[in-house]
This record gives sequence, C-alpha cells and structure tokens, in this order.
Amino acid sequence: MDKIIIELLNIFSSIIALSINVVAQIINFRIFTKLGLLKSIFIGFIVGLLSLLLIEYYLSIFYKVASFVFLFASVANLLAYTALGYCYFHFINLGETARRIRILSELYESKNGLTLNEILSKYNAEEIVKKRAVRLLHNNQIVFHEGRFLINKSILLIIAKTIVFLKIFILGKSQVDN
Amino acid sequence: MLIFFLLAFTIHLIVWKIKIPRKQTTAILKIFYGILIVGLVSLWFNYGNIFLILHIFIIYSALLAAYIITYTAIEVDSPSLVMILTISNAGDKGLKKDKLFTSLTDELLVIPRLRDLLRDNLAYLEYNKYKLTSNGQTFIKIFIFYRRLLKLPKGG
Repeated sequence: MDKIIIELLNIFSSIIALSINVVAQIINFRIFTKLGLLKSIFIGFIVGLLSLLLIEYYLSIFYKVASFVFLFASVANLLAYTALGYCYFHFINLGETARRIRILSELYESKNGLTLNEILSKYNAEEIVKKRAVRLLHNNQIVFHEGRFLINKSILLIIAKTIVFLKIFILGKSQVDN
Repeated sequence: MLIFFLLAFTIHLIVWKIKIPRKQTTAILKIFYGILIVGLVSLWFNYGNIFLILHIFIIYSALLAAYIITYTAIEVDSPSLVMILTISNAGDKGLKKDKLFTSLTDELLVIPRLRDLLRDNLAYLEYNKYKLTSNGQTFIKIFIFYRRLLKLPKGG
C-alpha cells in the first residue's frame, strides 16, 4: 500500500506543486496587492517549485534502488511543473488581455445577446490599442516623443519577430488577421 | 515520451503544410493524443506498468498544454506585437499616434475574434445578435470566477 502511495505521489507531484503555486499566488495577490499581478505569479511559481523539490526529496528516501530511474522521473516532473506553471501564467494573461475573453464577458453580462454595434460600443479597436499603448509605455517597451511612438527596449520586438518566424514556419504566412 | 511528442509535432507540421485545418486546436489535440495512445498501448504490451503509463500521460499532457497555449499566439495576431512591429517598421523617425490608431481597426482586431467564437461554438448568431452557447457560458464562467477571486476588473 505504501508503495502505491509513493508511486502516485511521484506521478502527481507536478500537479500538486501547481495547486500550491495557484493557492500561493492568489493569497499573495490578495494580501500584497501592491506587489502586482506579475510578481505574485512569479512568487507562486517559486513556492510551487520549492514544494516540488520537497516532494522529490521525500521520494528520494524511498527510491534507493534504480536511482537513475528516480532521477529521470524527477527531471520529468520538473519539466511537467514548468510547463504547467507556464500554462497558469498564460491563463491569467488571457483574463487580462485576450479579446475573446472580453467579448465573451460582455455577452455573458448581456441578458439577450448583443448586436455587432452593441459589442463595438462596449469594446472596440480604440480601447484595445489605447490599453496596450499605455502598457507598452509603462513597461518602457516604447516611448512617445513629439507626437510619435518609437521603440525603446527590444525584448518585445524580439518576441514579435520570433512569433512572425514561427507563423511563417508553421502557417506559411506572417499575418493571420487581415 | 519526448519521442512521441516529436513524432506528433512532425506529423502536425506535415498536415499543416498540406492544408491548415479549420479548427486548428482540435486538430492538434487529435494528432498529439492519437500518437500518445498508440505509444502508451505499445508500452503497456511491453512493460505492463500502469504507473509508468499514467506518469507519461500527465507529463505529455502538460507539455501539450504548454504548446497549445503558445500556439494561440501563432494562430492569431496579438495586438501588442502588431503594434510593436508597426512602430519598429516606421524606423528611427517613429510612428505618428493617429497613424497607429487608424491602422488597427475593428475589422482587424475585433471582427476576426468574433468569427473565432462562432467557429469554436462558444457563441452563435440569432437575429443579428451574438449570444453565448452553453460551452461559451461554461468557459467564461471559469475566467469570471477567477477574476472575481482576485478582485480584478474586466480585461481585454
């Protein structure tokens, strides 16, 4: 019976760590709101990671034989947790920035549905661009000088060009919406 | 497990070169889980270890989830990244504020996302009104619940 519990702990360790990550992030954000959402996500990820390492250490006491197998499983669990942590970050990001989520929220709040014009009166390109411009300016990705926008830091530009490369590689085109 | 993933990714690329499916995420899920099932059945007959199979399933699913969520950035044009590229392409002299706003319209930023919601069965059209399907309701409730938990305003 003990062996089964240990096996299941090994299998679900990344999911357990993710759950701890999520709880830590929510508690952190609710209590320390001045830290901001991004920092709370980072702290949650670290707490989850430490939990995973603790679980792996606990498991290492039981996997005395075939330690190479255990090491391989630990690395795989770490990989899975990183992937899940990345997914959680994007889940939060979707709520913050995704247009489809916003449109669905507007439709959810309306009782009888919305026409296209009604949707656009609540959420439109001007709001989308304005919000993002403010965010990009706040993060110093762009600057506003004499009525013009200019690139400042190049990190997002590198990401943008990488995404364009992947679009061309996988989809055969650099832009999808036109 | 990584071999299954790489094989599935290769098949995914080949299929996309032949014809990009209409429902891309669904197609990715079918390809990746199809390969995984074949691989797990093979492992079962060779090793018969249910714990190993379950473990591989979870790790593979985690990696697949990460790929799919990254793929959404490839599948649609992110307004922030389009803005960055547009400003960058303007060169050293920069891009006028009104030019940025006029180049990114509802037809580019909102209408395609509405089409996606219809395609993915999250919304439907009835007498010119967009309404949520039951899938759409379930889907958005998760986000609304989470954002209320964090006391966050509407995003977008």
